Amino acid sequence: MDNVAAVIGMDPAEFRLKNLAARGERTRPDLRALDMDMSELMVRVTQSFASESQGSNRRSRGMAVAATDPANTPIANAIVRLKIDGSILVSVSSIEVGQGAHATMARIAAQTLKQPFSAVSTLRADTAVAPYDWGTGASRSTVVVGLSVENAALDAADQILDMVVDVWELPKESLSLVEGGVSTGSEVLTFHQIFHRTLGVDSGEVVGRGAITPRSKKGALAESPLFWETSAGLAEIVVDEDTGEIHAPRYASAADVGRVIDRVAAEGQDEGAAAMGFGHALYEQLEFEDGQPLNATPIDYMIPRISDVPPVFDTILIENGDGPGPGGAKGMGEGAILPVAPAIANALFSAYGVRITDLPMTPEKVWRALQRGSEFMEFNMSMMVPATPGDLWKTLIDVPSISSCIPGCENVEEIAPLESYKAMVKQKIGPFKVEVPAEIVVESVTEPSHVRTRATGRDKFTGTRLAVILDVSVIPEDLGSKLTVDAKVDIQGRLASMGLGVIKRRVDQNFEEFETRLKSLLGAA
Amino acid sequence: MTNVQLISFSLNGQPVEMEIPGHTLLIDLIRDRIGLKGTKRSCDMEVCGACTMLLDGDPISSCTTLAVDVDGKEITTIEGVTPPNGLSRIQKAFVLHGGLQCGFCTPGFIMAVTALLKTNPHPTDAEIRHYLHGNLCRCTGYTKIFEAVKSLAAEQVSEDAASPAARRRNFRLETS
Amino acid sequence: MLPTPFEFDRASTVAAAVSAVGQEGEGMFYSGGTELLLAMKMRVIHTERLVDIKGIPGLDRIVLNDANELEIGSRCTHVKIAGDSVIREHVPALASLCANVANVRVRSVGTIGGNLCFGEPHADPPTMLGALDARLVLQGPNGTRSVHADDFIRSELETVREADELMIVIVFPRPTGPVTYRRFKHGERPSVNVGMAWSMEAGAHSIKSARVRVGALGSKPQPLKAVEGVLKGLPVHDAHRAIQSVLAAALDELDVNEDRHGSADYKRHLAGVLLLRNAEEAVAMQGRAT
Repeated sequence: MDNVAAVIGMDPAEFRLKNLAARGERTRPDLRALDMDMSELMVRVTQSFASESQGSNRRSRGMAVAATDPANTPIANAIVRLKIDGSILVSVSSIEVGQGAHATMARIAAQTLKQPFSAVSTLRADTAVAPYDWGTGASRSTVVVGLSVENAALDAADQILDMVVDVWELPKESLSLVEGGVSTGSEVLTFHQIFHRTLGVDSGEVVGRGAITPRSKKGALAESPLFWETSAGLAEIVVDEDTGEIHAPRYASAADVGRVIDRVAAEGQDEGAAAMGFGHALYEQLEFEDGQPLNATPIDYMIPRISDVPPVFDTILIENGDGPGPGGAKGMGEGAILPVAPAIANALFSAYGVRITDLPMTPEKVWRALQRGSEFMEFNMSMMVPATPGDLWKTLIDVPSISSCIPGCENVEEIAPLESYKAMVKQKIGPFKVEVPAEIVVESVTEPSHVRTRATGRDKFTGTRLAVILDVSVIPEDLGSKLTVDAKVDIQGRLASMGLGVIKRRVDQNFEEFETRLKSLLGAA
Repeated sequence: MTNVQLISFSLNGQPVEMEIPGHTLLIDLIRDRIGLKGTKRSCDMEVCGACTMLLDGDPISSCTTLAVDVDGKEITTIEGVTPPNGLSRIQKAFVLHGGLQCGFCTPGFIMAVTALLKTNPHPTDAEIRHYLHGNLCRCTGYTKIFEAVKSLAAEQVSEDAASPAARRRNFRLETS
Repeated sequence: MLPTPFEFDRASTVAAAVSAVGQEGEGMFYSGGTELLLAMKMRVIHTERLVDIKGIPGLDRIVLNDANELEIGSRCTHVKIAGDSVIREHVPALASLCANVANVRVRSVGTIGGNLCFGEPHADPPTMLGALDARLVLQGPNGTRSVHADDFIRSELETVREADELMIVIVFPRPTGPVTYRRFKHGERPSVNVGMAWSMEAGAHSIKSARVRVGALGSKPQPLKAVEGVLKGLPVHDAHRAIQSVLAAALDELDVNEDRHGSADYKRHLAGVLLLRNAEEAVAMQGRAT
């Protein structure tokens, strides 16, 4: 996206906003219509950075948005038991591996039954006693198993309310669950009272059952994917230009999760995913030789450490309550991995005009890319000059008069004759004003036939870096001399990423102008 | 075996004396012979920090420490910094801030943070990152672990309440 | 993995340790074990007897001696050197190096002597000690001998130490000028490290001599002779430019292994970057000192 935006000279964020598929649109006819606004994610990560003005020259930013389609298997069962003491047991086959599935199920049961979270225990999964579930993975547990827990809790609630209807002879519509029991409107019956009066003993429970199948919710869960798992990432990076090492001092990650059930756990899932994103973006690569892994130890295989994740990390969870899960929740925890690498790569591209497409972006890879630079622009010209090589040479090394041929070149200052000079190069490209204080070094001189100079500089406003290598040769000919100029121009920075095409045209124009002025200076044909 | 060594040491404040082969690793002694399974073995090469124990208060990788080396010294494991009822202030902070997910790295982190706060009760952000650089976590993304430790670094606690010795007084190790 | 069984001995004097290692069957000295046990667990090293030297008094001393030299006992842990007031005063760069070796657990028990004797080509201390003009004192069955840090490591994981020689102390002159050390690391071990020590003309702003060592590139730390040569006698503020003038040629001389830490040209380039940054730091330090 950023590449395309750069070619047409548009801001990459603006380019995305113009072209994003909107909520309700389909990216493929056989997939569910988009159930989120990608633009909302982009806006939220951008706002996260808004407190700080643009990064300094040393810092650059890159953004990426991503969506993935998690597996679609709406098949799960749950059992929720409400006991006489108000304690609640949830039994599901979801495996707790640290993602917080069991706590999430407990929260769903607690919220549905209007009981405190502390009253609920999720039993350790054992398929010998827990009901069938398709599997733990694919960001599905909160949605699919969560819905079955919600159903089971509603079933249990129904049974409790029916006891009250039956024994107290009250209309069901007047009853509601409250913490520790059932409210009749005029009084609260404790669970103990309800079981005691209904069963005639001081013990008992109701067993609620919930099932989700592709036919549940009138088939609404059957379409694939169940929901879109989406995220946006905005990375700020600092590149050590000498070593190629990338540091990310700041990152914002936004995910549309529908509804948050457990905030700390949900944020942690997102942050963990993003950290893995940093791993594959910058560090991780399993190497093989003859089918055997070469670096399968933590000494040789690097994963992110606490010192590698951005110290400023903003985790944004968007809640529109529009997911298929309990309370409008969607699955999450994987999406945040996706935008990290492209966001970093875009930041690199934005600052340096280099594009790395194979991960990880190791220091060596980045360094090599910086060495190659963005595409060099090359220009060649040659002209016949009616002067001897000796005379022509004299004109050429008269730096003030030669530099007067270069459009925008001002204040030429001689530091050491035929060694180094300083100059200011001013250019206006569209709305952009660039002022590059250039250092000009004469790299080699072979009198009177060849001179090579290198000019480098950096514009402090746009961060644009300019490097020009100029080879000028004088070749004796029958009727005078032939002058050839070969130039390599490299422009890097945000301006370059705005549109290399625009700059290339400008540089072309400048060379034409240079040629014209030089010809008139030398009286060339 | 001829190479049997008699060692005596303090384990979480309790004296232990036993005979072990000289090549026994500390982690195996604690987990397999003594049966304290809180310490986790992960990378087994001193990189990940999951097996961190404290040797006279300093963090070590128990996976690559000979058990004979603890002779005459004090060993503290995760069980030793966990009160008999409930959790320590470090553990509570990890739970409160979501500094754990799968939990496998957590005992190592708790031990490392215990050692850090003992020598430096109010570490700076940079000091926290430098000290914990050798503890790996694959789940949390570290952000919440960092927040947990930062919250502890900002707390003012009485030295006595925070010291491992104070916790040991309340802890009874049950080993045979 | 478990190491294969071995005898475990404790020695309380250097002579006893040397004699225990020298007995029939292969023995090895043992202190922190952070490198040795790892290799034994991976079963790439086997020894019949480990001789623990931690009970030998005096091997963990750090002093400035009467000859104005710093002495660091071989079994000083990294954490001890990092926090030692003498080292922090006279060679802060070495203290900071030790504060950043591996991780906090390795630093707790791993020793500088063990690090040197293992000869790991990506280690930090050998490069720095070469730059510091250190000599390493070994004690064997026939007495003691000194080996210069530059000559100690023969090749990858190979040193000139005989199996029954125990390194007892590391000695180097108290630096009279700035000492700097930098490494580049993208993984567990450094890809390249550069140590530089300048000794200064008394009361002057010029460099009497400079020692520069580049490590991790080849099998052992290497001197950058051309850089050392050009810095000799130079005013401090000319150092940076002088290094630049000979840098390309000096880097070309380096022996560089291509490996997962990088290609040869990249590692050479990194060595130059670290060297120039060291030089900038040294100039700044010298500016503050005068």
